[in-house]
Order: sequence, then C-alpha cells, then structure tokens
Amino acid sequence: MADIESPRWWGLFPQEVRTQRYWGVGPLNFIAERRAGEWLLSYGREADPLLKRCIVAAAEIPEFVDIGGGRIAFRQAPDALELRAGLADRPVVVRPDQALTIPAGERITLYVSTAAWLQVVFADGLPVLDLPISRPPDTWFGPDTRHGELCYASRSRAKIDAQDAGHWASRAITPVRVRNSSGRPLLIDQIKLPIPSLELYADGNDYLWTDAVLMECTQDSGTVNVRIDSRERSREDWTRLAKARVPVVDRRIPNAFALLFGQEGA
Amino acid sequence: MDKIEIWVMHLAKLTMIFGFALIAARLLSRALAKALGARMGKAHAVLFSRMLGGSIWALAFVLALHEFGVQLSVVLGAAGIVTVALGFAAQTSASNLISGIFLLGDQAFSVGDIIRIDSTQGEVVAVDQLSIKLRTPDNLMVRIPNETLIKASITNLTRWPIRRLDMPLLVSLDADFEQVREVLFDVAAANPLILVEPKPLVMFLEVNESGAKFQFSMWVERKNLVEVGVQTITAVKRAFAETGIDFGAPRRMQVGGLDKAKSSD
Repeated sequence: MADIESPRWWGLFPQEVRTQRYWGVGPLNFIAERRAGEWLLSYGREADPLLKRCIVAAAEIPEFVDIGGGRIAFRQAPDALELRAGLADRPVVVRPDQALTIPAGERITLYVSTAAWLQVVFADGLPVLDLPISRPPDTWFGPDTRHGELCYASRSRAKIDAQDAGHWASRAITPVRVRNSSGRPLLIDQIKLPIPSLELYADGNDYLWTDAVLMECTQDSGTVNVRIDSRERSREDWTRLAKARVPVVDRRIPNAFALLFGQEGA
Repeated sequence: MDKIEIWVMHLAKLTMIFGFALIAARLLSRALAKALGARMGKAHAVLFSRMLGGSIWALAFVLALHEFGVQLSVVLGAAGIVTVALGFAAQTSASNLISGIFLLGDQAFSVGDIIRIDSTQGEVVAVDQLSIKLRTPDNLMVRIPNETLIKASITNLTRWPIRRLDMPLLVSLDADFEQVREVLFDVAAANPLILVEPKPLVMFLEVNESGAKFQFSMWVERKNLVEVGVQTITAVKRAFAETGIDFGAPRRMQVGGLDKAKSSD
C-alpha cells in the first residue's frame, strides 16, 4: 500500500478509467472509482473516532463497511477528482479538561481541535459529497431546551498547549484567545466556537489551522464579545483551503451569549 | 344596434372590473402574505391574505351589480333579511370562523408543523377560515373544524428543534442495576445522533413480577427521532447480550394445574 507520509490528503487526483483510489483519513475510509461515464464514491468509518492516520493508496485497497456514497454520471467523466478540506457546518461546543478560571485582567490562549470535513468536487466546483471525517456528536447549547442552538460537541478538550490539542491530518486547530476584562475571575465551563464562520488553512507542514477566535468578557454586564482574528490569514507559509461557510460582517459573531462563561463563585 | 353597443360597453366594464379585481387580489394578497409571513407566521399570513383577496372580489361583485343598475340599498336591505335567515342556518360556520380567529391568536401551530389532536396526528397543510387540513403519515387528508380545535388539546410535535426520546426497558431482577446504567450511558455516548447536552437519563420506574422497569431517555434532533429509536434498541440489545444482562420476562408459576386437569378428566 503506497502510504503518503505527509498529512495532506486533499488536492487534485487524476485517475485512469477502471481504477480505484483509497483514502484512509482519521476514522474515514473513502474510495473513488472512475468508470467510462461515471465516478463511484463510497465511504465508511472505523469505530475509533480519534484514529490518527493518513493513507492515500491506489492498490491493495482495504475492505470496509460501506455506509454511504454516490454515483456521479457524466457525458464524459472528468479524468480527475478533487478532494477539498472543509470545516464543520454547525458551531462546535468544547470544554476544557476541567473548568478553567481566568483571573481578572488576564488573557490566555486555548487550542481546540475539531473534525475536518471532506468534500468531493468535480469540474463545476460544487461539492457532490460533503461529509465529516469523524462525525462529531450532536449537542444543544442554550439556557434551556426551548432557547439555544443545535451544535456539535467536540470529542477533544480545549488545551493550553497547542502540542496537546491533537494535530492530526483529520482535525483542524482553532486558537481561542480569551481576555477577562470584567474585573472578576471568570470560570470557563464550555465554549461555543463559531466554526462555520472561520476559514481553514494548511501550514507549511500541511497541518490544518483555522482563524483564531477572540473572546472578551467585558466589565459592564458580563457579556462576551466574540470576534474573528484574521492575523493568521497573512502568514506567508499558510495556504487557504476553504472560505467560511457562513461569512460574518465586520468579523463580529452575533448571538454569542454569556453562557460561555460562568462567574466564579456565582 | 344601440342595445348591442350598451351591452358591449357593460361587458367591457365588467371585464375591466373583474380583470382589475383578479390582478389586485393576486398582487395585494401575495404582498400581504410576504409582509406578514416573517412577523406573524405562515398560517396568519395565508389567512389574512385570503381575507383580503375575498374582500377585493366582494367589492368587484358589488361594482358589477352597480354596473347593471342594481340599487345597492335594496341589495343591502335584502342582504339583511338573508343574513338573519342565513345566521340560523350557518351557526356552525360562524362558530368555526370565530374559533379560527381565536386559534390564530393562540399561535399553537402553523402550516408545516406536525400536530396531534386527540388520536389524529399529521402535518398541517392548510389553515382555513372554517377548518384546518392535516396530512396523516399514511397520506390521508383529515379536515378538522376550527370549533373542534378550540376545545381540543393540541400537541405540537415540531415546535422546538430537539425532542426527548423515552425508551422503557424491562431488565431481569438478576441484573446488576449499576452495570445496566453504565451500559445504557455507553450506548448513548457511542451514537453521535444522541445529544451530549441535555444529558441522557436512566430512570428507575418500578419492580414487578417480570423484572425491574427502567426508562432510558435521550435527547435527539427532531428529524432523527425515529432513526435513533431503532438504532438505540438495536444497540441496547447487542450491549446487553455482550455484558450478560437479561431483559425481563414474565415469571408465573402455575400451581396445581395438572391435578386440576386430571380431576376434570
């Protein structure tokens, strides 16, 4: 099996008629087969959602339980298939290892890894498949079951050290910069990340990063201002892989509410 | 010739009146539905736009009568008498109409919602002046008069995006109940369609002759309710088999049955 050492699994992959190519990225197994007038796509997942691997192979394709896919017909099938990396289509809720207290006036950076999405694109540029490499569990983020938003729950925890966050081919890291300007200690219990509003990048080693998120708890009412920090966009060795699914005006995230934080001693 | 000209004139005017009414009713109704749709919901928007359309057609009809020289005062006088007569005959319709207005104020459901009224469940496909129309899961159309609705208790199954799925489970009395809880929580954690928050619940209900009755409750996105139900019971059965937990079964002992049978021979 011709494994690719680098974590790069996206790009344009030319393929001969009547041949198959296999991708094993994280828990996802994906096969693309080119035929005379069509492409056959199929995918399945391994049981371990945090599996670390990145395999692209054209021979010795392993067997797996097929749970979905598609049959894309053309008058003349394109000779290459493009895989794109993307981000989640809903906000992601993440928790620190333990509830985290930030003293007044302090600022910290947390690193959060979230599952990347795999998109299959042909010549028209529109994805025919858009699926999570590892399906994150659903969760509800809101004060009660009537008010809130359906989100994904991150399978990993927010970390202070970027090395601990879990940087694999199938997951993207989001730096979360938190500033406590409230004059009181803050207890961070859980954070809702506006992942659909972030752009996705690959660094010089083909690891995935997103825009950073700035969260500032203000002095007046304990509300949280959430903004996207686009400083990463100007890094020279970074390549943009995907635009935001839901672009935001002025980089400010609406509907970011204070439930992100609990007041210490409250 | 003159008569023909007069009739042609009348015809032209009638065409203009009804043509204008047709265009005005369509355009204004659509505009009103669009304007109200965002603020008041689809059901209100549809009803008020229909009322506006109906009023425009009624005005066109009155103008048409006037065109033929019919005295409106005479028509209105006659209409008064007819109204009294109709009032007795159309009590139910009037009741439905008024009930419909109260229902709109309630905002208990709108077009597209899935509701349950007594034993009838279905998707609301129309909210009209006199009744609502439901499409049942087996694709039948059910008309329910507004008067019935105002007295009935209505359950809206699609009001909020998430729902709780309750699954009663009967477990053998020999089972380790703490292990049962752990297995059920593991089943919930393994299914990404079961919400992490609000957390799943395992409630103890009762012990009876057949075993211990638990309720396994989990929150899911509304559209996944049926799928998660099937997935969960399949996963629970598999997990119970792997961990040696038995489901409960009726335990009844028949005493003296054979002797009785013999004595009756």
